[in-house]
This record gives sequence, C-alpha cells and structure tokens, in this order.
Amino acid sequence: MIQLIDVNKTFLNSPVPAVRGVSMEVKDGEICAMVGPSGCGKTTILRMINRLEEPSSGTIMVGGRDIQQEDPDRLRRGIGYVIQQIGLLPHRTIGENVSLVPRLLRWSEQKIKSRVINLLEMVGLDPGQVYEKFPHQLSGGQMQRVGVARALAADPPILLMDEPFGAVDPIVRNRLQEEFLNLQQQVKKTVCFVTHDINEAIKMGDRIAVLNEGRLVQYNSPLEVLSHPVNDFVVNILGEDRGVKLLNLTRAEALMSEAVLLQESQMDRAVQVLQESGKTVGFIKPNGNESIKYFTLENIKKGMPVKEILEKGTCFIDGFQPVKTALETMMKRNSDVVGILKEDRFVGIITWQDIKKHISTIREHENEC
Amino acid sequence: MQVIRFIISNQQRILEYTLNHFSLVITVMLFSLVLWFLTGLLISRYQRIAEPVLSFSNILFCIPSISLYGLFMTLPQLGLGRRSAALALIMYAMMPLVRNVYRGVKSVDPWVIEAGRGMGMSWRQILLEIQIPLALPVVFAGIRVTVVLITGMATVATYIGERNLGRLIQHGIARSDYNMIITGAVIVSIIAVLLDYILGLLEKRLTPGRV
Amino acid sequence: MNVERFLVALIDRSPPHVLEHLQLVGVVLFFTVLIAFPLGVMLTRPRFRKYAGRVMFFLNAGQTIPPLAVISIFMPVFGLGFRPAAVALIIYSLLPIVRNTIAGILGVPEEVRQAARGMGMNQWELFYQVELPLSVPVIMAGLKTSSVLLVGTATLASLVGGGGMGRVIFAGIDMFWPEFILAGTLIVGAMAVVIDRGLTLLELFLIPRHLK
Ligand SMILES: Nc1ncnc2c1ncn2[C@@H]1O[C@H](COP(=O)(O)OP(=O)(O)O)[C@@H](O)[C@H]1O
Ligand SMILES: [Mg+2]
Repeated sequence: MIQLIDVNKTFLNSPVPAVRGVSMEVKDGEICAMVGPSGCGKTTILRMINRLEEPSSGTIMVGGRDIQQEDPDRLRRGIGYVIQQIGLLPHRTIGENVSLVPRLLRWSEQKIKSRVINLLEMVGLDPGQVYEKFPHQLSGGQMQRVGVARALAADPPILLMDEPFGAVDPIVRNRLQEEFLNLQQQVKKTVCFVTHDINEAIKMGDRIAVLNEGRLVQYNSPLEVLSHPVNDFVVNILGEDRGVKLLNLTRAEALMSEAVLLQESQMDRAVQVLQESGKTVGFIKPNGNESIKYFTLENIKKGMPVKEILEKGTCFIDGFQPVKTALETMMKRNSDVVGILKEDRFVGIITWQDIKKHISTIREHENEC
Repeated sequence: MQVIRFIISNQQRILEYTLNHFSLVITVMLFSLVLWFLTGLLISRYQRIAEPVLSFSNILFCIPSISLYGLFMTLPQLGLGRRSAALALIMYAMMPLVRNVYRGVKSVDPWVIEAGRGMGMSWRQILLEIQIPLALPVVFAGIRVTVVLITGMATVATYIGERNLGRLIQHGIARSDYNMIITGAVIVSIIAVLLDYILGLLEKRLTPGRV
Repeated sequence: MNVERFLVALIDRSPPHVLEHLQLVGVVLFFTVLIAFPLGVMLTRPRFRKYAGRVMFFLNAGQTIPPLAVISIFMPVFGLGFRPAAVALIIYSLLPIVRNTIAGILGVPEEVRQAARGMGMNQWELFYQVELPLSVPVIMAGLKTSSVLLVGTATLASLVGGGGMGRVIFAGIDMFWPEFILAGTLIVGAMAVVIDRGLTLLELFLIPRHLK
C-alpha cells in the first residue's frame, strides 16, 4: 500500500509549488493511473515515492512504513521503476540489465539467471534471442519490455511507471498495455502509472487520479470519473467522447433485460409468469439447432408475436464485454437487439433502446456539471 | 641509406635517447592519468569548479612548451633535466585529459543515470558501473591525443638538458646534419604511433558492444 | 626575480621580435587557410570524397612528427631563416583546419541537403547557401585551435633562424634568466589570447544568426 498524506513539494529554484496538499492511497494490487496535463506534478509525485525527490512537507508511507525513515538506496531496490526513456545501460547486455537489482541485492548467480530467463518470458521476449544482445540491437517496444522486466526483477511489491509506453507507436503501445494488464493479473503489484493520455488512464487504471497544477482534483474508479466528473477541468480532460468511453467501461450485462425460461405449457399465461418472476423478457428452450425464441413483456401484452433471435451464435455477446461491443454487434448484424450470454448460457438481451436510454442519462450528468 | 648508416654507427647513443624518451613519456602519462582523471571526475561532480579548472587548463595549454620548461628549470627545486621536463609535460596533459574526462562523464545519457538511481544504485555504483565505463571512449580519445602530443613535445626538453631523442634534432640543427634530424623525428613518430596503436587495442578490449 | 631585467626583456628586447612573431604567424595563417580550406572543401565533394580518408591519414601521421623536427625539416632545402620556418609551420597547421572543414561540411544533416536539392539548388548553390554557412562554427573552431597552437609553436622558429619571440625565451634559457622566459611567455600568451578573441569576433560575424 502507498499512502500520501498532505504532501507538498516546492522546488528550490521555483516560485510555484509543483505538488500541493496531495493525499491519496493506492491499495495493494491496484493500478493507480495518474493523469493530467504536462507539468501538473505527476513525475514529481512518483519521484517522491522512491525518494528521488524529497517532499517539502507531508508524509509518504509505503507498506505502512514512513519512507523518510528508510535508507533511500535500500528503499529504491524494493520499488520497481520504469521510465519512458527506459535508461537501459548501453554497455551491458539485456541479461545484465535485467539482473541489475538482484545483483545489487546479492542474489546467487544461479537464482539470478533463472529469474532473468523467467522474466524475459513473462514480458514476451525470447530469452534465447535477446539475453546476450545489447540494448541498441532491440526495437523500441522490445526495449520497453526489458525496462518492465528489469523493474520486476527483484519481485518488488510496488511498481512506479512514468509514461512507460509514451515513446512507442500506437500499435505497439496498445500491445504493451494489454500485455502489462495480463502480467498484472499474475503478479498483482501495487502500481503507480503516470500518463498524460486519458484513454490510457481509463484502460490501465483500477483507479484514476486526475491532477491539475499540483493538486489532486479527483481520485475514483474510471467509471466514477467518467460518469461523475467533479468539475469542468475533469470534463475537459475526459474529452468530447466521454459517452463513448463510458460505453467502453460499462459491461453489457449492466444494461441488459434479464430473461426467464418458459416451458411450452406456460405460454398461454406468459404475462403472468413474467410478472411473477420480475423479469421483462421470456424465452423458450430451443430444439436442437433452432434459434432461441424470445418475447418481451411489452410486446406480448400488445398481442405481438414471439421473436426469434436470428443467426444463432453470431448475435450474442458475453455479458462481461463492454456495451460498446454490443453496439458494434448490432451495427454489424443490422439488428436492434443482441443476446447476452453468461458462461455460454442465454441470460438476457440488450436493445438499441437500452443503450440510447443509457447515453441520455450520461448526457444529463454532463449537463449537471 | 645515410640515415641507416648513421643509426648503426650511433646505436649506443640512440638507444639511450630512445629509452630516456620513452621513460619520460611513460612517467608523465602515468602521473597525468591518475591526477587528471581524478580532477576530471571531481569537476564533473562539483559543477561550480568545472569552469575555472577548464579555463586554467586551457591557458596552460596556450603557453609554448619551451616557456614552461624554461620557467620550471629556473626553479631551484626542479632545475635542469627530468623533473622540470616531466612537470611541464604533466601540465600540458591537463587540458586534453581533464576536458575529455569531464566531457565523457557529462555526455552519459542522464536517463540512464536516472534509471540507475531509481533502481537503488549508490552514487559510487553509478560512477563505477555507469559513468566511467560510458565515458571511456571519450576518455580514450583524450588519452590518445595526449600521448601523441607529449611524445612530440618531449623532444623540446632537450634544451633544458633532458637527454632524449630531441637531442638528435637539436644537434642536427646545430650541425646542419639532416640524417640526425630525420633519425630523431622518425623514432619519435614511431613511438607516438606505437603508443597510440596500443591504446587503440586496449580501448577495443575495454569497451565492448557499443554502437 | 630581477624586476629590472624583466623590464629590459619586456620593453627593450621583445618589441622587434614581437613584430617578427606576428609576421610569421600572419603569413603562416594566411597560407594555411588558403591551402587547408579549399583542400577540405574539395575532399567533401562527391568526386573526391573517396580520397578524404587517405589524405586525413597522411595529415594525422604528419601530426605525430614532433614540432621540433618539423621546424627543422626544410632547413636543407631553404637554409636558415624565415622561409624554412614558415613552410614548416604551414604544414604543421594544416591538419586541424582540414579536419574541421571536412567534419563541418559532412556534419550538415542529410535531410537539410536533400531538402535543398529538392528545392532545385545546384551543387554550387547548395555549397554556398547551405553547407558553408552551417559548417562555419566547426571550421572556425579548427582555425582557432590551429592558430593558438601555431602562436606557441612559432617560438621554435628561432632555432632555425626564423626569429620571433623564441629569441627572447631561448636567450632566457641559455642565460638561466627566468625574467626573459617569463616576459617572452607573457607576450606569446597575450598574442594567443588576442588572436583567439579576434577570430571569435570574426566568427560572430560569419555564423548564421540562429546558431549563435
Ligand atoms: N528539478 C526541478 N527543479 C525545478 N522545477 C522542477 C523540477 N522538476 C520539475 N519541476 C517543475 O515542477 C512542475 C511539475 O513537474 P513534473 O512533475 O515533471 O510534471 P509532469 O510529470 O506532470 O509533466 C513543473 O512545473 C516543472 O517545471
Ligand atoms: Mg512527467
């Protein structure tokens, strides 16, 4: 856990404070994405956590201990640090670069070697190919992977990342982001991830810290920040397409109308069954390869017929996928409804109407601010 | 042909001069390396004194070699010969060596140092494992320039009584003996080129796998 | 330290040799630039670029010949006096200027060159309007290095009868008079500083504004 308590920082040669009264907490195993315009103090906050800078006032605790009490070099050996410029030692091989901190910690050669090979594989590099290479022989994306591997080498519980993927092209960046998220599933580090790109923050962060002129403006989950931005500054940072971003963050199952299974025999009193179960959609168990037949409470009240979900298997999405995927599926299939599956079982539907209603509620929020 | 005849008939003397020349250059280089390498490191760490130290070395470098020899020679503690010559040459070596050590250390990518610090390397480790190894190519360039320079300048020390290859040239001028001048010049050049070559080989061994 | 002797050296003995020294340095610089600059430029032209390495090799090798030897090497041809000293010093001063001229011109970024070609400049316009102005700082640095070294090395000219401040300094050495050595040194040092400053002024005048 990382805790900042009323941290301030004013640089000696600067009249304005770079960080002002920041208090926040990063929970174990979470990624905190710090986002804000250039010069808002992100890097300074990060560098105070591993004592590359000293706060002018306030306290920083790492793992429950005040870092002011610790030896800076020892502290840093226990905190992974990844920077945009990477800073690989150009005169050392990739293997030597990755093993730097374990060597500082005097691990045994045996242990170091197997650890390095393991790490290189973890970050998606072929140890046999890159181990003996020098940094300048790798591509930008590969070097950044080495940077991440190096930071993870001594298995530190905490990782500080300062715009780590800022220098690579968008395609590679996307891949590195995905890979890092997968890696994080396994290693569960406590991560401070600095970026100036709100999309990256939304994608990477379990929580987002929005900073402006050294102040912490908002610190919430991406969903909360998107749906309840605290002020115009945050709204601006989120950009015009906030609604679409939100669709990306909301799971389809959150908007779906749940469906209940009806037996053939219950069909004549379908309205009653639906009302009893509190659901608005009913469906009939398909025979063999038939499409699922479903109907909505509304339609059946008006005496309209049972509908079939076309092209079984293509017009369904998993419930944990974002609403945006539902929307895309609708457009691709030219249909105004998609079925939602959970563990491969039909659980409900989501309609164009549902999505429209959702967007308009976001709009209302937006207008409130 | 005459040159070769001259060399053969003066073997003994030429050998003495050559050994003297060589030993002067080596002595000067050893002292200079230790002294100016440390000075270079020092001024790269304490930025404030860098400018004055570098300016001083530049001024020293502008003084004609014969002047420094002459001035040191007249100091009673130094006198004619080896000590004055060595000290003057060490002063000359200051500019190229200190400047290149300073430049080399300063030219190390600051982000590499940032990363090293961020990983918890102490300043000693950063100096020994990052800054010095990465400065080596520039430092070596300085050492090689210096060796060639010192080897040539050492000849002038003959005028303050140093018995080295400069003496062949000095006497050659005095007697208008072309063979003597050529002999002295060629052997000095060979020493310079040889030392430069050896340093080049050493440099290759010490700086692996760089662009 | 004898103040009277120092003043004699400074005021009485030095002035004629100052003139000789300046004359020597001036003539040498003039001819050095006249040879070195066109040579450097020529070696960067596509047609001759392949010889650049070989010429530089010879100049570098020449630099390992001790200055004392260089200064005396033309004695058999020209005898004693101003000429052997001047010719020797010209050859000795060539390297830094040739090297920096080549480095400066080849250091002009390839994309700048391509852009200029793309706008339709011919070889001459490219050289005159792009390569030359952009390489002035490097060329001037070579000229300065060369001049400062030359002012010092020219003291050796007196050994082959070329006159100059070497006369005063060597007199001091022969007589074991530090006053003479010091006076000579101060004057030579001052000359080096003046020439260096002068060239800096010239540089300010020649360098394109954005590079200052
Ligand atoms: N070493 C320093 N000395 C003086 N001012 C600094 C220093 N480092 C950063 N600053 C200033 O502090 C502010 C915050 O910088 P930084 O944390 O690097 O911002 P960010 O990483 O968000 O772009 C900026 O105004 C910057 O100019
Ligand atoms: Mg930053």
